[in-house]
Amino acid sequence: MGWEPWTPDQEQPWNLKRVVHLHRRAGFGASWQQLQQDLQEGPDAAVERMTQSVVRGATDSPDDLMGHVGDAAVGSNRPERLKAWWLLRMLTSTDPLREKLTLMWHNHFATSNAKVANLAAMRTQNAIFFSQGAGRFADLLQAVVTDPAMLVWLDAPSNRKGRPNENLAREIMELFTLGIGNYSERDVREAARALTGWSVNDAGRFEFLAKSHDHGNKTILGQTGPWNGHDLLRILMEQDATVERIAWRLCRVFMSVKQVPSALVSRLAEHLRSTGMHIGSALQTILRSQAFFADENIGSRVSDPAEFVVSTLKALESRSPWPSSTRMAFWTTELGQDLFFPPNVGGWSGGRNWLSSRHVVGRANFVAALINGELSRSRAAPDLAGMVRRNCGDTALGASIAHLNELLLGGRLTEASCSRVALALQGHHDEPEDQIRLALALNLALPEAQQV
Amino acid sequence: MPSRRRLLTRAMSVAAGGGWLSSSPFLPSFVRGSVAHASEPPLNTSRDRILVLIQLDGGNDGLNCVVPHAQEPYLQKRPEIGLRGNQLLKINDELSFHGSMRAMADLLEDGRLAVVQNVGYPNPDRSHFRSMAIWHTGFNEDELPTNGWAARALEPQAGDATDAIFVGEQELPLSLQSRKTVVTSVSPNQQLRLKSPIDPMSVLASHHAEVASHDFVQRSVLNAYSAAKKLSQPSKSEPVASYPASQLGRSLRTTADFIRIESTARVYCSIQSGYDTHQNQQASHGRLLEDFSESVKAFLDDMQAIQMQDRVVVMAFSEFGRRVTENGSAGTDHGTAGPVFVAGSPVNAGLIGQVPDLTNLAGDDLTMEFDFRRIYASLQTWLGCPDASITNNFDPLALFS
Repeated sequence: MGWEPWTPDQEQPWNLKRVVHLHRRAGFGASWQQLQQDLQEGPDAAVERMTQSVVRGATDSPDDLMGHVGDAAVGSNRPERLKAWWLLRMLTSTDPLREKLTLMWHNHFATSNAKVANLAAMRTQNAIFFSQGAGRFADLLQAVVTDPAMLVWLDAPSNRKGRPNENLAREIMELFTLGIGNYSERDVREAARALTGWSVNDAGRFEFLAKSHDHGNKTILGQTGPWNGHDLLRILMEQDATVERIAWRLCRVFMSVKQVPSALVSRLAEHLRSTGMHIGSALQTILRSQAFFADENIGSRVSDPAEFVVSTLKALESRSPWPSSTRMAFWTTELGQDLFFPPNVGGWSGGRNWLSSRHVVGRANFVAALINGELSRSRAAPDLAGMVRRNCGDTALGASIAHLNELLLGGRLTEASCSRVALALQGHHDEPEDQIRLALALNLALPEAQQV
Repeated sequence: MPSRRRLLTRAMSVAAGGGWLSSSPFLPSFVRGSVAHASEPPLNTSRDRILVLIQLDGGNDGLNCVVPHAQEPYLQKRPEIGLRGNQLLKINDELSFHGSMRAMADLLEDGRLAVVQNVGYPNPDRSHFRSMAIWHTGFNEDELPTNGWAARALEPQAGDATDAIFVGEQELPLSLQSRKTVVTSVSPNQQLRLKSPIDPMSVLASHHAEVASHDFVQRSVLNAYSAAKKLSQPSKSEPVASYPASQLGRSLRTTADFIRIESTARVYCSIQSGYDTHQNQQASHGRLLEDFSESVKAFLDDMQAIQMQDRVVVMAFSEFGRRVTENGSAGTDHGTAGPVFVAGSPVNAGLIGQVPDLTNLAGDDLTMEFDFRRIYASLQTWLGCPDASITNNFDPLALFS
C-alpha cells in the first residue's frame, strides 16, 4: 500500500479508530464532538478540514491574541512562559496541522536557547516555522539559515575569510538538507568558505559582510564557482538527497518512526520533487493515502511528550478550569521534551527514546497530577464524569471505560484489556466520579496509550 | 612498545575489606546479611565488577586536555587557544594536563588513572551523531547495529533485575540498549517514583509479560513500572567525598548511592555535555575539564571509602577529538583521535601510547594509534562478560594486570 488515495471499504472502514488516528497524527487530538463530526461527514471532509490551510502554503503569524501572549512571554524573559505560549497554541489552535509542522521543523532545525540565549530570537524562529513551514522547502531553508537564532546557534558570525568555522556548513549538509553520507569532508570545508560573511548585526538582524566573505572559487558537490551562501543553498536544493531527507522527515512525523519502507520514502520524494518541494501538498498526499490509513500504521508511533500532554488535555476538554499552560510546559519538559531547548542540533531522536523508565513513569505521574487537579491553578480536578455524561450519557463504570478507550485511543484497547481495567477498579470502593479518574489513570498508563 | 611511552608505577591498591556483597539486588541489607554467608559467591569475582561510563559529549579537544606542550607546532597551530605556562600541569617533559585538571593529575600520581592516547577508529567520521553511534555500538559499518557494546556484553547474564542504570536527564545512550538487557534510567535530580493512585501493574502484569518479550513499547513500559517499584532510589547519604555541584557531579553521586545499596547493575552511564567547542573555547573547556576531573576523583574517593575501589572502574570517552589547528573563532572544529581516560584502582596506571605527533598529521588531524574497541575488549574481559563481536576482533589493551 502506498500513497494512492484511500477509500474506505468493509475491511478498512471509516471508523472512530481512523478518525482518532487522523487527529492524533496530523494534529494534537480532538474533542469528542470534533471526532463525531468527522466520523459522520467522512474522510474527505475530515482530511479537507485538517489540510485546507497548509495546502495554501505560507501564512501569517499566529493570531493577534496569541501574538500578545507571545510578546508578554518574551518580555518576561522567562523561557517557561515561551514554552507555555507554544503549548497553549497547540491546545487551542484552529490549524493544528500547522502547529504540528512547527514542532516538526523545531526538531529538524533544532536550535537551543541554551546557547542563543535570546527569547525574542527563538520566538522569531518559531514564527518562521509556523508561517513558512507548509510552503516550499527552499523558502523555509533560506529563511531559517539566514535568521539570527540559527546563525548564532551555529557560530556563523565567527566564520570569516581565512578563518573558517565549519559548524553551520556541516550541520546544514548533515542535518538540514543532504543527510550523512551524501557529501565529503572537502564539501564541508568549501561550504564553510561559501558561508563566510553571513553574520548578525548589532540590531539582531542578518547581515552580509562583504569584507569577511571569501570571494574565491569553491567546489561544492562537483560545482565550481565563486559561491556564496545563497549559491550553496541552491546547490543543496538541487540534490536528490535533500528531497529524500525531507521525505524521510515527513514520514518520521506523520507515519511511523520505523515502519516506512525506503521505497515508500523515495516515492514520497518523487512527489515532493514534482511539486517543487511543497510541504503542504505532500501532506495532503500523505494524509489521504492508503499507507496512512493502513492498519499497521495506526498506533505504531510513540507519541512525543508535547503530543501526549496536549492531546490528553484536548480530548478531555479540560476547560473548567483551564489547564495552566506553565504546568503543561513543566510536564512536557519532565517527559523529556524541553521545548526551545532540544538536546543538540540533531534534535530529539524520538521513538523508543521517549520511553526510558523515568519518562514512562513521568507520563503516569502526569496523568496522576491531572486527575488530582494539579494541572490547573485552582487545583480543581477535571470533571470527567460530567464529560462522560455529556459525551455518551452513561456514567456506569463499564461504559465509562469503553468511552475513554474510544475518546483517547480510538478503541484500540482490546475488550480483554478493558475488562482488566474494570477488574482492577473493583477493589477500589470509590465514588463513581473517582473511579472514572482512576480508569483514566490506568488507561493512559498502558503501552497502547504511549503510541498514536 | 613505543619508544616514547611513559608508564608510571602503579600504586598498590588497598585490598578490599571483606563483607561487601552484591548479588542480591534489592533486599534490605539486614536480610541479605543473614543469607550471605551460606550462599554468596566469593568476593571479588569478576561478576561483582562494575563499570561506569562517562560520555564527554560534543567532541572533547584532546590536545588541550593532555597537551604535548614540548612540540613546536602546538603553539604555532594554536596561537590563541594554546595553553602555556601556568595553564599547564606538567606530567613529564613532553606532556601536561590542562591546568584545570588538578584532580586528574592527583589520580595519575596516586596510581588510579590510565590515559590512553590517540584513540580512534579507521576512516573517522566527523558527524557527532554518526561518530557517537560508532562508539556506542562498537561497529563502523555502513549499517550500524541497534544495540550497544555494553548492553551486548551484559546480555548473557541479563535477567529480571536491572543490568544497567543510566543516570542523567538526557536520552538513554545506545551503549546500554539491547533487546534483552534491563536498563533503568534515573534522574540525578529526583527519585524514580510512581505517583499514580492506582498501580498500573495490576492491569499489565498478568497479560503483558508474554507480549513484552518481543515488543519494545510493552517491554519498556513494563520495565519502567517494575523498576519504580523495586528500585526505590536510595536516599542521598552523606558522601565522604565532596562532589562538584554540577550535573555530572550529581550523576556520579547518585551512581555511588546505587552502588552503596548494592544494586544489581553492572554498568552505569552518565553524560557530560558541552564539549562542542567551536568558539571561544578556553574558559568553557577549562570549566568542563575541572568539573570532569573533580567529579571522577570524588566518585573514586567515595568508592574507596566504602571499600569498593577494587571493583569499580570509570571509563570516559568522547565521539572525536578536534582539529589540530584552531579555527578563526578561538575554537576548534571536529577532528579525529583523542585520549580516553580509564580510572580506578584496578587499572594499570600511567600514560599509554605515544605522545601525539604534531609533525606527522593526516591532513590537519592526529593519526590514530589505538582502536577504541581494544579498550572495550579490555573492559569487557575485566567485567567478565566478553562480547564476541568485540573480543574476537580486537586485542584487549593491557589496562589491567
